[in-house]
Formats: sequence, structure tokens, C-alpha cells
Amino acid sequence: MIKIENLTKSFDGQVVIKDCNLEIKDGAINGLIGENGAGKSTLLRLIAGVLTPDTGTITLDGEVIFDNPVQKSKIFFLCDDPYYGKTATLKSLSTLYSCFFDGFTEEEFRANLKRYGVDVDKPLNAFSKGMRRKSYISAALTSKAEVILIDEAFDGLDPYSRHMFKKDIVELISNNPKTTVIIASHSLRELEDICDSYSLVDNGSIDEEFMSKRESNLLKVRLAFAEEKAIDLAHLHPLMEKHDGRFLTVVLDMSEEEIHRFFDPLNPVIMDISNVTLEEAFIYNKEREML
Amino acid sequence: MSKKYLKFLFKTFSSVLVVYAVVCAFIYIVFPIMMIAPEHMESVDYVSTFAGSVVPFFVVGAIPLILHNRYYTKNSSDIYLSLPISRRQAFITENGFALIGILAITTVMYLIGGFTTMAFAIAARKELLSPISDILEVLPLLLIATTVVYLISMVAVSFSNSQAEARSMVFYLHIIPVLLYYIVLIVTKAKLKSWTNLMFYAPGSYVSAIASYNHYYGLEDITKYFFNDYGFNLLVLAINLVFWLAVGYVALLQFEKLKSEHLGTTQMETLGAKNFFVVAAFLGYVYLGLLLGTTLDSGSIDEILLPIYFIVFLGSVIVYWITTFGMRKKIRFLKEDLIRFAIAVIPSQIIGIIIFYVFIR
Repeated sequence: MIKIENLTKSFDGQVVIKDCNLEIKDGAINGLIGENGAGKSTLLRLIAGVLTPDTGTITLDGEVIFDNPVQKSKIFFLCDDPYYGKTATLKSLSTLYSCFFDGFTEEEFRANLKRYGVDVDKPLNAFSKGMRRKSYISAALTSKAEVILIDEAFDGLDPYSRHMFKKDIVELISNNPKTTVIIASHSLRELEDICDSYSLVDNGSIDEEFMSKRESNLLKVRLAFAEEKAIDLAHLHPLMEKHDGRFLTVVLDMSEEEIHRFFDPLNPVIMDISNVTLEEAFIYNKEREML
Repeated sequence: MSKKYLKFLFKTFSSVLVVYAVVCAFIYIVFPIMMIAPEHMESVDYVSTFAGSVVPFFVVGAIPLILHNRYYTKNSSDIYLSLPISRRQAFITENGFALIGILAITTVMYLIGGFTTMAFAIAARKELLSPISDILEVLPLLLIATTVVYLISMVAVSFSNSQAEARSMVFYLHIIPVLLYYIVLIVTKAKLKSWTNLMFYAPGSYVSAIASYNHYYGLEDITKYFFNDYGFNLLVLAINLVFWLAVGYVALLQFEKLKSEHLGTTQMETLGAKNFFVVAAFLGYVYLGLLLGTTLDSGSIDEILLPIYFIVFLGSVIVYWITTFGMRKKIRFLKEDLIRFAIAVIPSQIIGIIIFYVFIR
């Protein structure tokens, strides 16, 4: 289990992570979401032991990660745009990781590269962004690390590769229940397909119950009436409101029961209540903050 | 040392040592034989001509820069700092790998060169001015001087946050003192031959490592100094070795505390290039202090002294500005920089004069 306690990190006096606490259980696929500059990459770099925390601790199975080779050997970190040097090749990438990760074998790495359609004989700097990303993802999957941290996981990947990557992650967790994956991404729709927990990084704090809160509170209501009606929703403080003739779509921060209590007397022909998507929840959450 | 990291370094950075081996092979083996091959060459002085060559020193000085390069950008350091190795292990393994490799190559190439040249000279009936005992006796000095040169670069790169900063610091630490050394040497050699050997006493000066070595074997009569001053030269180099090992330990502590978020930028902090330049300049200015000591002792101001002061002081400030321009990417002629260097002059002159009166006069 990864445990973050009272973590604070600032850059040149500007606090990026402020007194944060977070627990990510073994076997979880945690989606790290947040705006640009919210601190997602910083948090991943702190967990990976790249950055030194100002205060607080980050532990893996009860032991501090920073500067601890034993714990770090369980972690594979894939940053947003890794740079291995101008002359780096897939062979040198394999050399690097096979020296440090016991489970990493060149054969398996090559097999993963082939599955992702990467030309194994080309130098890394000749690759497109997407191809490089596929190479690094192949390395991450080959590492057999207990914790895989991936920043901007879907960046540059084509739709099929995204599909493969999601499938591989789910398979990895199914086959190795102790493996934990933390993915930071702005592709919330993709995250929603694989993540079982989410952490919202916002203004230096981490909201680890973001997902559960959104499920309980934010609901999207689609209504159809027999005839066009003027309905005043202002007192419900809708996060989104769209009138289209006889149709009304509204996002409300209230329970299903309360929604029924309000709309049932208006006799809608159709009333469909559903959870908002992760992306919608993220957007509405932000809008709610701005209000 | 970390076995895993060592394995990686062997697989990845052996080519750097191969280049050094090729340079050493040319300097210590190929060139000496080429020198004595022509019929008109009746003798060869292997030790003073080749063991004192600065070329291998400059290659050694560049190696830490190549090895440490991957810690200078965020995207690269993210990979290497996340690897399962402690920073202390990384620092020790990386520099241990390089230094052991360099010293092994130096030893092998130097000995092969010395003995091959000797065998060649004997076969060709030519006189060898460096007997076998000289060749063997020089080796410890050569190895210590090489180690000191490596440590200086290692310290410079460890205190740097960016490639530009590291390059500037390595350049400054290696080039400026050598220039200072030759300026002072040329002037003082004509005036007071006997103490030129002693003036490299100031610990911490790059020049005292390489120059006392060079001076001893390259610029003075070997028969005069070899037996009399061997111990002293060894002592000078040993002082430097201890000094730079101590600074190297501080560099290790600095690397352990390395703030990845500052990489790629010029740190210009307390332990950054800004003050490093001043310290290097200070150590160089000590020689000017020695020069001042001779002038005071002679009772008259030497007309050559003031131009030297002017050239050395202004030269070091200009080099500082040029190198910091490389880091800042913009021209900034700060009054504070000039003052900082001026402040370095005063204590350095006092120390220089003290060294002159206590150790030399």
C-alpha cells in the first residue's frame, strides 16, 4: 500500500502540494486527475523518489520510498516525456531497465514492442511522440514492478494503442493482484474505462474521495415534457441547464429522491437520471468551485 | 558501490574509457616511439616529455561532465533519479567506475609506453634520459595528479544544475589556473628561479596539481630536482588530493540533497557556479600575492607587476562574464560581480605574501 502522510512540496516558495494525505491500496488502478499545473506530475515524481518532500512521508508497505533502493526497486516511473539521450536506442533502454529490474527481460520487451507495432531496429529519436510513448509503455509493462506510475499515459497514443494499453493494464492487475498502477492523465474518458479509484489534485490538495462524492451527488437528469414548459430551476443551483423545446437536460448536486420530489409534480413524459461521466464531474466540480 | 549500476555503467559508458585509453596510447606509446624513431634523434626523455603531457589530463577533466550529463534535464533526471539506487550509491559507483577505469588505463598505458620506448631506444642504440627507476617513480605522481584533475571536474559538475553551468565551471577551473600559472611562471622564472617549485603550495589550487607535476618534470632540470624534490612534489600533490577529496565529499552531500526541480536552470546559489568562480579566482590570485611578495622583498615595485595584476584580474572577471553568459543566455554586467572579485583579491594577496615570507624567502 502506498501511503502519503502530511506531504508538502514547494518550488521556490510556491506551495504545489500542501499537507496532503492519500492511501492507495494494493491492486488499485488509481487515476490522478487535475488541471494543468495542479501538481499531478509533482505528486508522481514525489512517489517515485525523484523529488524530495519538504515535509511529510511517502511510504510503500510501511517503508519510506525516497532514497531507498529496496522500495524503489518495486516502482517503475514513466514520466511525461522521458529523455534517454540523443543516441538512445531500444537496446539501450532495455540495457538500462534490465540492469535495475530483475524481472525485465529483453525478449519480453521486444515482444511487447512488437505487439504495439514499434520498429525495434530504429533509434528512439527517430520515433514519433506516439511511438516513443509505446516504447516506454512496453518497458513499463515488462518491468514487472509492483507499482507503476505513468504520467500523461495516453498522450500521443492512437485509439487502438489506447485500447491495448488499457487492456494490458487490466490484465496486469488481474494476473498480479498486488500490482498498483497510478495514472495521471487529462483523458478522463480513458481513465474511466480502467480506474477503480480517482484522486483529484487541486490547488495543492488531494481529494481521494472525488469519485465517490461525484457518484452520490452529481446527477444528470434528462426530461421530456408533453409540451414546452418554462421551469425555474434557479433555486436548485443547477451546474448545467439546457432547454430545447419540450426537452430539458440538467445537472444537479442533489439526491435522486430530491430530484423526483421536484420533477414528478411537473409530470414529465420521460425522466432519465444518470451519473455524470468523470469528465463531466471534473468540469462541474470546477464550475461549482468558480461560483 | 551498486553492482546493478556498475553493470549499467560498464555497458553504457565503457566507450568513454575506450576514448581515454586511445588518447593515452597515443601520448604514452605511439608518440614516444615516433619521437625517437628518426635517425637524428639520439636520445629521448620519456618522463619529462610524455608523462607531463596535459592532453590526458584534459580528457580526464571532461569525463565527469559526460557521465553526469543525464542529471541535468528534468526529463532525463526523472528516469535516473527514480531508479532503484540511493543517490550516495549512484555518486560513488559512477565516480568510482570512472576513476578506477582512468587510473587503470593510465597505469597500463604509461608502463607499456615507458618500457616499450626503453626497449626501442636500447634496440636502436639511443640514449634514454629517463632510467627505469624514474619511470616507475613518476607513476604515483602521475596517478595522484590524474585523480586530482578528475576530482576537480567531479566537484564542478556535482555543484552544477545545468550542462551550461557545468561546462562553464569545468572550463573555468581547468583553463584559468593554467593560464595564471604560465603567466606567473614566465615572470618569476626570470626573477627568482629557486622558489617557483614552492609556489604551488596553496592547497585547493588546480594548478598546484598539474603544474607542480609539469614544472617538476617538464620545465626544470630533471637531474636537479628529481632526487631532491621528489618528496616535496609528492607532498604537494598529496595535499591537493586530500583537499579535493574533502571537497568531493561535500559534492557527494550536495548530490544527495540535489533538488531535481532546479535542474536545467543555473542555480547561482551559495554552492553554485557564481561563488565557485570566485573561489577559483581567489586561489589563482594567491599566486599574484606571491609575486607581490617578491616585489616587496626586493624593495621596489616591479613595473611588470601592475600590468600582470590588471590582466589577470580583468581577465578572470571577463571569463566569468563570458561563462555566466553561457548559463544565463543574456548579457549581464553586474557591478556586484566586479566587487565580488575585488573582494577575493585582498585576502588572497595577504595569504600569498604570508606564503612567500614563511615558506619561500
